[in-house]
Amino acid sequence: MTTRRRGTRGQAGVTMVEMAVVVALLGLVLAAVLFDVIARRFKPRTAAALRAAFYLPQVLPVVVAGIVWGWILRPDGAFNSLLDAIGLGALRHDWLGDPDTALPSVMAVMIWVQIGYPIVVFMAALQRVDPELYEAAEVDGANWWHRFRSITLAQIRPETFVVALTCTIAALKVFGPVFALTRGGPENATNVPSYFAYFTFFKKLQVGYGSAISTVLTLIIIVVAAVFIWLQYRSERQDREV
Amino acid sequence: MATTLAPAPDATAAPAPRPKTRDRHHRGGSRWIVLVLVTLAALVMLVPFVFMLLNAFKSPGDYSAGGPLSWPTEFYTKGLTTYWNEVNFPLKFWNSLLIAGSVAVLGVAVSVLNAYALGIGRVRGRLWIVGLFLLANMLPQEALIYPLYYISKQIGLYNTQLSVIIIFTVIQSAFGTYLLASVLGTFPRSILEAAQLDGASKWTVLRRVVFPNLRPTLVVLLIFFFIWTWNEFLIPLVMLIDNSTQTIPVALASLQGDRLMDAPTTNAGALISLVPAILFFIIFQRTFSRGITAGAEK
Repeated sequence: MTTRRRGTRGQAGVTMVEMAVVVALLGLVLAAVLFDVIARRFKPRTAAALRAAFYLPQVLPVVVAGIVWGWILRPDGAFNSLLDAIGLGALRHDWLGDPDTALPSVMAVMIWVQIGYPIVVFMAALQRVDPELYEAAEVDGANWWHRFRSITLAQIRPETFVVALTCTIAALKVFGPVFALTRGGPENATNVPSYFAYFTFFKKLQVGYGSAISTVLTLIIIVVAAVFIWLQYRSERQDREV
Repeated sequence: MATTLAPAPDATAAPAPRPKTRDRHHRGGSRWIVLVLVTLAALVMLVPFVFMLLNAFKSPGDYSAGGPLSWPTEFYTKGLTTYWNEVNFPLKFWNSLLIAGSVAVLGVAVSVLNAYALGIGRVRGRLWIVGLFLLANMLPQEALIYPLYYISKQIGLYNTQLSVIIIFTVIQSAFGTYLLASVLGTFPRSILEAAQLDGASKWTVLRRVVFPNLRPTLVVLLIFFFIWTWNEFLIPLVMLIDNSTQTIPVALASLQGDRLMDAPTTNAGALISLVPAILFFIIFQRTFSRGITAGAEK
């Protein structure tokens, strides 16, 4: 992250939302690849095994994930040892202790934790899609990108709205990983809104200020959700009119 | 369905067009590149679990001598047994299972009934109702926690598993209602009208038409609810203060606070906290695959 961003509390929250978009998009593409390429050109079993690998971090309690990743990213932890072992020892770093790498590290952990959720939702959604649509499109010479855009995206639109909304909200509310990994530090580089509220409540004991922060956070979440639901409603109505 | 368009992969398909379709399905080298890339990404996802497994059975001396990447010199299980006894794992396991299992089943049931009314029934003002449901799911838990704590104390549910079950059934089914209502909003009206013309009651339509169609999504919801509730931290931490009611994540975190745990015990504890949820996931993985095959043979 650039130096400009570091230390300003709102920016860590904004960066987390950018991360939510990355998670949702990456999940959509991976789910489509698993469903359309792996499951149909190899075996459904292969796709199921790969999906399980992506989903596994979701099974891990967030607190446990935080404890384990905190241990991995320590200066003497497994990640730096791994860098040594593959000859990249020059890249050894105090990943969570340096204000410049702390936020990207937390984001990487968050992507690791969350990516399974959109993949599983999208793959379940794709099961509703009639396989004949893909077969027909292929016969007509549509390439992967065409099929992805015209069939996959169009057919699973309800789920796309749901995943985009819930990922954004989860990113706005993120608390557990920040608490377990960095406690908002170093130099406020990872101070997201909900950790800031928690800190004001329970460490500074400023209940009024803490309530104000969590109320503003709630309002932001409500506005974001309202916009999403309105967009979804509009696209459903267009569907019916067509 | 025309056999030439989408031949079923089973034995009943005519043998003649099969080699041709195999060709179309299995041609091209690019699919291998895609497979390798996706598999690599999946392996990267698994690396932290390998670290966990590698260090859970190492003695503290072994760890400080060889570092986190070394192969353990002996099969050391004391970290595991220390953790098991320290937190009274069987009791914590039962608490987590009871809470997560009840919430998963009740949450899915409530979601289906809500979504049927909102998505199929299209009751007046359903947009506002869905929005209201979402509120419960969206509010930061730090904002909810004090009112919940206060109410449960007043009605005598504080420090009982039932309080957490009720709270999470509401929170999870709020999400479930939103998801299912969105899906059912696009449910083909012609099928519903056909069923109604045949004289099916609302309950029959739900059970015979809507439910079978939704089943893959419901299984996913059930898994999500179970695992999300299993992993919840803040609300169980506040509501369950007793050793006899606490869940596994709360127990692990409070052990972390008690004293400085060495790396092997931390990894053993993390590993053992993970096993039940993974078992649950594997069991339902089978259901997923069956769903896929059933769809392909249709």
